[in-house]
Amino acid sequence: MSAIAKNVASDIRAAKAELPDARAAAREAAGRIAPLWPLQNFVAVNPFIGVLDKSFVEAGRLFAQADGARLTLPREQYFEALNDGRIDDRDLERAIAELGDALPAGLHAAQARSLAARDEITPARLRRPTVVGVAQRLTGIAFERLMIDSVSAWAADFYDQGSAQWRETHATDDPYAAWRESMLREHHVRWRDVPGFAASLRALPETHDELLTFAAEKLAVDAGGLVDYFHRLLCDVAGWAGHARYLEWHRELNEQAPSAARRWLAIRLAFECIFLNGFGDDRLGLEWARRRADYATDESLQWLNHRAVDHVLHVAYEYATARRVLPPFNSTAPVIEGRPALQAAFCIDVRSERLRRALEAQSDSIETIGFAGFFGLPLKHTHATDQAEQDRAPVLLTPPIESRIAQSPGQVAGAKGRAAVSQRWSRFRSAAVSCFGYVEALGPTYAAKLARATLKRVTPGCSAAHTHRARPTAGLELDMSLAERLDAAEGLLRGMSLTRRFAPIVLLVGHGSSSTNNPYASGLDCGACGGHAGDVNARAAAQILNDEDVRVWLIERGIAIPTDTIFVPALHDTTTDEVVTLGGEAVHENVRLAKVADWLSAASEQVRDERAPTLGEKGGPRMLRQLQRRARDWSQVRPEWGLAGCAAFVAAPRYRTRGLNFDGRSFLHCYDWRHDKDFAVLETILTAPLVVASWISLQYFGSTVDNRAFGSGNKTLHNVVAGLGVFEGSGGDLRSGLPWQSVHDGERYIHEPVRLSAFVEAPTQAIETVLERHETLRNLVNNRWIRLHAIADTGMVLARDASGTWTPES
Amino acid sequence: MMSSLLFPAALAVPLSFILAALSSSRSPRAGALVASLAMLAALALVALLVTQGPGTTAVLGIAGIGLSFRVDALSVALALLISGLGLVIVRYSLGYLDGEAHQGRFMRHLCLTLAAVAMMVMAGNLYQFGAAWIAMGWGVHALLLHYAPREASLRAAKRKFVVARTGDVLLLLSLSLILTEYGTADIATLINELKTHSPGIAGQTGAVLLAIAAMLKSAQFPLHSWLLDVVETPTPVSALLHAGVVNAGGFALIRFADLMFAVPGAMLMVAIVGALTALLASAIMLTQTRVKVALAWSTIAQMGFMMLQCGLGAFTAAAVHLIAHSLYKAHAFLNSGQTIVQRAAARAPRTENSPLLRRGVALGAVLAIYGVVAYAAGVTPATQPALLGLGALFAMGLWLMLFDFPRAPAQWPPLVGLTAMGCALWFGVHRLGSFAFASALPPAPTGSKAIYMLLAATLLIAAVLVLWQSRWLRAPSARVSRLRAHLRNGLYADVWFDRLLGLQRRASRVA
Repeated sequence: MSAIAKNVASDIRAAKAELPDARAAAREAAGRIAPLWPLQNFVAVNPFIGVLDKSFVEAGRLFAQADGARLTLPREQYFEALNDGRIDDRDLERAIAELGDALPAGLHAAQARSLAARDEITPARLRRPTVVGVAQRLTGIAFERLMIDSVSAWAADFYDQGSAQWRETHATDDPYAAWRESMLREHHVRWRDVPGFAASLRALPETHDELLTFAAEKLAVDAGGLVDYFHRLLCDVAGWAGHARYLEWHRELNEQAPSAARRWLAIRLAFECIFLNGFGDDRLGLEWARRRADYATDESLQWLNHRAVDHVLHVAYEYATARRVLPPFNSTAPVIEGRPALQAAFCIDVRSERLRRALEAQSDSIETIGFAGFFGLPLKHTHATDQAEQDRAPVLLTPPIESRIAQSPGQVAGAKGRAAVSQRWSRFRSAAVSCFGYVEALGPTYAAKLARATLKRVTPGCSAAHTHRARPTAGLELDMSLAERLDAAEGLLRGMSLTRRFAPIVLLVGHGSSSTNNPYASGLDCGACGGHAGDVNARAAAQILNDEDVRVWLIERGIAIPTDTIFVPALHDTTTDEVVTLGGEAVHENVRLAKVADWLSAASEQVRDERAPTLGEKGGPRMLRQLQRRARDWSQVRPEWGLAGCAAFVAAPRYRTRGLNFDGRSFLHCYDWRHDKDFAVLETILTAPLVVASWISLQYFGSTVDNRAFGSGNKTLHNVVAGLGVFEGSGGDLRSGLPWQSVHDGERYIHEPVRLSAFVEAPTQAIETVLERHETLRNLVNNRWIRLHAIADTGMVLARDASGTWTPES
Repeated sequence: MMSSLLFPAALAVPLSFILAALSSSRSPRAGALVASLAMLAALALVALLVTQGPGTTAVLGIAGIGLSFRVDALSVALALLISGLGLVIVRYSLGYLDGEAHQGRFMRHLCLTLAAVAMMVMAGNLYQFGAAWIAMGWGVHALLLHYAPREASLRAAKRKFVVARTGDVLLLLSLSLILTEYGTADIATLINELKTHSPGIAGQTGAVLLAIAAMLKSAQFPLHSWLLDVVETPTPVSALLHAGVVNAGGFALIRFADLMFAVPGAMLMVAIVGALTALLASAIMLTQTRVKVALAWSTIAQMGFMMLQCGLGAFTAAAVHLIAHSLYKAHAFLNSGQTIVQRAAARAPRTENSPLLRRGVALGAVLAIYGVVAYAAGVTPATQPALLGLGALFAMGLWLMLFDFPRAPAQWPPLVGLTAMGCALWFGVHRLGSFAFASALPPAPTGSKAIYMLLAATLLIAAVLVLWQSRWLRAPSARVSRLRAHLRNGLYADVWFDRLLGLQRRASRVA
């Protein structure tokens, strides 16, 4: 009794003395880790999501010191661009002016130019020390690798999504507690070189909170540098900590206090404690006492001296790139007479830009619209009874609408039966003992499989278009009342700025990719549909808008859809650039669609020719077949380029951009502020599609500038782990971001890493109002994670600087 | 008299790969094209073998040292396998490593390794066999170092280097002992000699050393960890290794089956290590979460099983296993990126609880189907006891599929159909194997008591494993957590190995 009371009392004392610092620091450091989505629905995540409250330059310092990561390209890239004239002195001057205070005083263009020729001090050298790292240096034993491999293999087991046939049941979902339990169960031969490893392990506190306090005290890092130290440690396990954050995000959307990442910090900290305990009396204790002082000193000035010129060069590179790839906007609205023959709404995805341009080129009476590819319908979708529910919605939303592919009870029973039988068969294939017989009996049949795959005769792994060709008539069921449908319809039409002048045919085009043997397949699908193809959402939207009852009520809300207008769902296969209209709504009989199909196929062909050079193909009439082969090629590491190249976001009426060639680099959202009451739509666009676009752009940015830290490495070494992510090779941390092959073709960067330039046609005052209301958005803009511009009625562009001043661009 | 076409046809297989290696430095695409010629050469060999029967070509060289090819069902089957897989893997690498800085170098090493494997399986004399064996090891070493600055790749290469060079030394010792005893390097002559006069102490030592070298090459426990490291190189190397190179150990035993028969102790050793490896590695495999690592453990288990077959004297079955497994595993590795899609599609309801009665029914059904198919295939305890014994293992696997016979009658026909199909395929494959390899390989002997006891023990442990798995699949128990933790760590064999050799030290960087 008294012992417990004493314990509690000392706990409270400890809490008063130490907890606030360590726990607050842990919370802040954990907040810097970006969540990581699993490969089943690999959506783009901004790797810098946790540091948006810091400026881009400041974040560069944080990641250099915490992870040895860089936020700019290797200096020779800029040097080359300077030499071949892509970057000129004007760009350098603008860059120096923009960075202003962040630079050492008196830096000028000529100086930057000469510094560009010198070797850079790589960020890797600025990485700060840890106890384990110091121990590694003193002993020459690869402790960092041992630790990360061991923790990472354990984590794969802990978070396993059904890879291992023999699963472990963990009593807790707290990673720290579970890790400690597991470690106590293991044999410690791996840690023989660490004195007293087992004893130190047993002595670790049981909860992560206790450990944080315990460790902060033991390691005695300066309180001012504690957050940076914790961040440094978390970077060693950022992949798994990110996965833990995803799980929390999934449970409770956008939780502010990410506790899972703190638990991961505790795991990493435990090693610091064990190592200090083991080696503490030795040289390591002294060395650590010396090295930890790094965290107490403010090195930002020194850092700037090392890296300032790289930031100048990078900003200049961004100006140069923008100048080269972004055409000036059209200044006047064309006068359009009468009713268009076809309207086609596409996802804002940059890959739609080419197709929209090509489709409009077919006829003046075709109009295209850009809108988020989930068409405003966040679906929780069941595609087949034996599959898990899929969130076909942007990850910023929790999908409230349930949908499913209609199946009769007989079909459901049949599918379940087939699934049960195939599960048994796969057990026969892969279980211990039975696998020997399976291989002998069935092995020879794999000769045929090898031949088929080599001849590219397989079915693409993730082709939504294929699914629909196979089952064109299966109906789609939506759990929505009439009122909900009506609200959704109105929201969608107003969001697209499509409330009058309806064409007889309005296509709603979702998009999906097809590839084979590609762990990153879902990353090529529609991000607005949560890393799935956009087919279901397009069908759902068409179903609602074709609904007679909905249309009748829409008239009351001021939107009159002519009775001869039909909405037709379609799917754009971004690998092959085929567009197929989707069944289920009996539209195939419609004669009017014949013309549309002609237009679409001509447009598709034009897009394919345009893409041919970057894919190393020749183009021409055989291009479609080549791309289809590409989708079926199991050795293809670059089925398509995805959103590589993305550089801009435009929210404006289409006439502002019609006829302009953005070369598949721009997100295009339709928006006309003149019809936007209270700027409600503007607020949605700035806080949802723009934010998502910034995530995508920054994911590509990170994966390009530092693929080791923010990307997932070399695809040829990828090893799918726990059914949710990849390792590069057999161990290391869980990898985040995009593979190297997704941004680089072997000779050059296909993605030019520039921060997104956003152009919004709206009064600057209205934009400022929205910015004021939303902190995340304000951080994105003020800290230069995106470059925000306004478009005036004349088509002139106003750039907004960090302080909120809008200046016309020349 | 052998046809004059035989030598050029046989030579054409490795030669195609060598030419492919030379041309891929300039153009990988041209290299891939040349590599496909090996397949044509292998098909020509099949035609020659069928029309003219087996034989060995004369030696192109001096004093019996040089090139000669033994052309029989075994070597031709393997030449066909290697040229076919080579074609698949080379074509795969063409796309997969497109844009890599050193694609040409990679393809060159790949093709040279394939050439060495082809040289080895068709070797007509011991010199060529040994040289090709060693060349193959060096080829793999070069491939492991493809991403040399990566620390993990360096460590992998080091581990492999130690094991492979030890194996090389043992093999060379073994071959020279055999050479001294029998005085001939010609493999056909040697095998004939063995039929009439059994080996003395030198030959027996040679057999034991050969067995050890074979087990090192085929990644037997506990010196298997280098195989797990191959994950540190591009996927096609994994396919090549798991589907081709790692078989070399099994192939050596099968090729020198007559020698092994003459030394029962070596056979017993192989059987024990093989059985141990097969059971341990397949249990470890169940706990693995990294797809390529799980596949590597599966390979280790399969190699163990192949070794067990060799140790039991079922060399024909081992050859069948070798070929079937190569095809299966090459596909599994090359297709390992598909895991995510497959997993999404295979989210099925969990197995139901099953009463004893239904388990009994399932066991009865399997035995009945197995018996009927065996009878129809003409396999009885009297004619082929070893095959039936191995078949018992197969039947256990089928039982695992049917274990908790489903309640829904709609699932019965497909399950019974699959079981029958599995049995028919299994017996069919083995019948085909005995037919094809009848002339090339000695038949399984009656075997010693020790061997049968070992088989019985293996079957018993396998049965326990099967039963246990069916329990795990239903309800994981907390009591086995500790065992599972050790298994998940591969019983720490890699750690012990590294510590023994000081490899836990930081790998020094190689420029």
